Amino acid sequence: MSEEIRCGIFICRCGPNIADRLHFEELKEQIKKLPDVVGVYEDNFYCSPAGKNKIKEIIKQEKLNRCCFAACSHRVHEKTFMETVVEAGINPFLIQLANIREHITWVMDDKEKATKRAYDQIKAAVARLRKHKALETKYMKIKTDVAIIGGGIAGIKAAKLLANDKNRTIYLIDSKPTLGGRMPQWEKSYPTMDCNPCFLAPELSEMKDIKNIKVLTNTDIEEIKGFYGNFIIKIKVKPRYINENCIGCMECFNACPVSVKNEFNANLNDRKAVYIPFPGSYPNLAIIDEKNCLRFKGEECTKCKEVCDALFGAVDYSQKAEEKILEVGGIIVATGFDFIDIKEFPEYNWTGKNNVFTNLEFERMMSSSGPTHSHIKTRKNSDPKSVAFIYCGGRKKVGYCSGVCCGATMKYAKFLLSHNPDTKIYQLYSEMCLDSDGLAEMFESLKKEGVNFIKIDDYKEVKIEADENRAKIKYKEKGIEKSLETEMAVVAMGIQNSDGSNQIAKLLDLPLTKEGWFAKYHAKMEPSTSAVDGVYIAGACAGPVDVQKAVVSAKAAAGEAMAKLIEGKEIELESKISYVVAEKCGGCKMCISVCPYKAITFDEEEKHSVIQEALCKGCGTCAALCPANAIVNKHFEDEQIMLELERLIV
Amino acid sequence: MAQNKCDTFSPKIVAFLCNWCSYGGADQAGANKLPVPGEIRIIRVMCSGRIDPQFVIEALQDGADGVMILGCHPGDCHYKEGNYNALRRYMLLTRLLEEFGIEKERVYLDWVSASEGEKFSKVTNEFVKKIKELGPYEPAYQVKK
Repeated sequence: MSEEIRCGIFICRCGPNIADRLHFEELKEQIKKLPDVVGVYEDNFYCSPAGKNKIKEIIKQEKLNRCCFAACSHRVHEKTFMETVVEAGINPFLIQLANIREHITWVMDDKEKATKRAYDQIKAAVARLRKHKALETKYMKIKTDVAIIGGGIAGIKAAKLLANDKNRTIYLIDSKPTLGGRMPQWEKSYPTMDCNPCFLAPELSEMKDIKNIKVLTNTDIEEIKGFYGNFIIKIKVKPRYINENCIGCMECFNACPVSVKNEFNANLNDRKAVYIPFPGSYPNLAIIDEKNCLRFKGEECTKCKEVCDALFGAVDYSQKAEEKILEVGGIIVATGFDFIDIKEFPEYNWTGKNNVFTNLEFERMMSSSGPTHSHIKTRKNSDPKSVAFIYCGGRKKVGYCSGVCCGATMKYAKFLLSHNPDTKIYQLYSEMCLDSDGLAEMFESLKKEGVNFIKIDDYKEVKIEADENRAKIKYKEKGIEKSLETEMAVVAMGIQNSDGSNQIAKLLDLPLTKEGWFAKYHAKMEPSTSAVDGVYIAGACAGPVDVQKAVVSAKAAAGEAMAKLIEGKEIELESKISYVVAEKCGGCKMCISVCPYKAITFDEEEKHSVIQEALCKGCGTCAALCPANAIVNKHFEDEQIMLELERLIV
Repeated sequence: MAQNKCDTFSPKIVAFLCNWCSYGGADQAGANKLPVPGEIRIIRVMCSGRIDPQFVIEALQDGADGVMILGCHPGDCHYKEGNYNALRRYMLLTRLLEEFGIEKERVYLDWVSASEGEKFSKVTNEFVKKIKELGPYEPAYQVKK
């Protein structure tokens, strides 16, 4: 049995804004005659405290159960009127506004026409109210756990800061087999020449003792749904084929018959198909590389297993990828950077066989655990008598300054001065970026120590000719074409957003800057916040940073997450969401493909779509699309819109 | 004759506005006191993606002479991509209208942001003018409800 509808129309004079700009009295008389209407009430300002009190009194006196507010815009006072009627005991969704100010009296001079228009809009609003339903306002407790995507130094430092709250679980996820990211490849930090791996080692080894950080390496992110306070992340833990019994003894490496290029060392030496990326990797577990292991090519090799079975029994060829769901309140994205690929630039003539090197190759040669054990060697394995460093490698492709290469390239000069003091050093730069502590001083002192800094006209014009004995660099200096012949040329390649970042950008709908980095919510004021609520950004995925700046940004992102994800905090869920009428659903699944929030799933047993309440934002796209009319968009139901439409026109 | 018809004919026009952009654009037109024709009747939906082609057909059947669908600019949709869905449906719908001998100009889709009061005023005035030129919508046959 349906209740009797008692609708009151509250028409606001809005001072002269409405009342003086149409035939107010005439309009009142007309709308009084509309069906369901108990009374028409007027006030100068219904949004004022006195006005709101009048609304509440009238509702109680007249026992109203629907209210139409003929007043200003939804955007201005819908919330005000919703709150007011709630205080008088009416569900906030049993009201409707007719915007007769912004949309009518402010844009029309013809009082006659304005009155007619206002009448139609009020008539439609009152008619619509007949079909309105009370909606429940639901709240959801936010989750305080955090997922960190990217286990480089930024991800690690953010995780550790967050882990101080022992009630919070932090998932530190990386697609690579170890944490650490790019930092362990960097032998020394500029300008102090401190040992980077030595800073990183304790950060990694402490991980096993922090119980509320769950490290998920060798793990891909498959899907991310949800919003601030309630993200649902589907991950895939890829098989390592080595279980937790492994202690990293490396015995299996010797047994493995397959040698492949070692990407960690810039392909300058080899590793086995079962390997640990670098000494001190975390977790310190070996991994079998599916791409190169003979077993995955159909051969029957069990050499690593034979060795390990006698020791730890850690080799397990039967491991399978495992899918897991993580539920978290916030996400920190720290997906780092990639180098611009030197192979895209034929003018540098890098072949891997001649004496043109990349900065990463040079960096790995500097490393004591690297392929040449801290010795800088030409491709013929001799000590170079002269080395030229070329700045701004690849900059012409990306257009921006990578910020961190100048400092690193000066660091190489400093390294040569101490390790190969007889080597002649040339630094060919057209611009110098010295934006870290001590870099300007380093530049000056290197000049004094005999490093030849040559200011070239344009980094875009550099060309290199090379073979395995020498490298000839052609450039312009003060308009004059010059060439420099050295035994070795090192191109300082710039950095760009990583493939991982692009993938996460798609999964989270995170906007990128035109340079390809994650866009900050505000470049100056909100540098750690992304455009998506509950998603924070740290480290080099938002633009070039050195280790120190990566750590600062990581701590800032962790701070944001900590402040936003407080135990017990509740968020209001959208009330005007959609739902599927199961009996009507034909199972075409078209709704699933259009939902921008991935809120719709298919119940395979019951054979109908299901909308997850917590994920739906109520846009109604699915409802408009559904060919079976099986989806209802609450508060914007077909019959509500149809009735409004009809009464607006007829 | 055409001139005469244009002078006396006051069309009925329904404008579907999305809550976040074009409804705001209409408010902005109001705040700046920019002229909006009296023929416009506004229906607010949360997203242009909510607009079922059935609503448009229904509006014409109910006696509207033209229908406007105004959403957020591409890339600015509050619900990420509802406006793209609106665009796809609009393309299909206009083809369908032509099949049925209905001038496709009677249904108009455009993007108006919450700050584009001027654009709202412009497109509504232009649309009313165009519908006046087209004359009243006379269905070839009436679907019984």
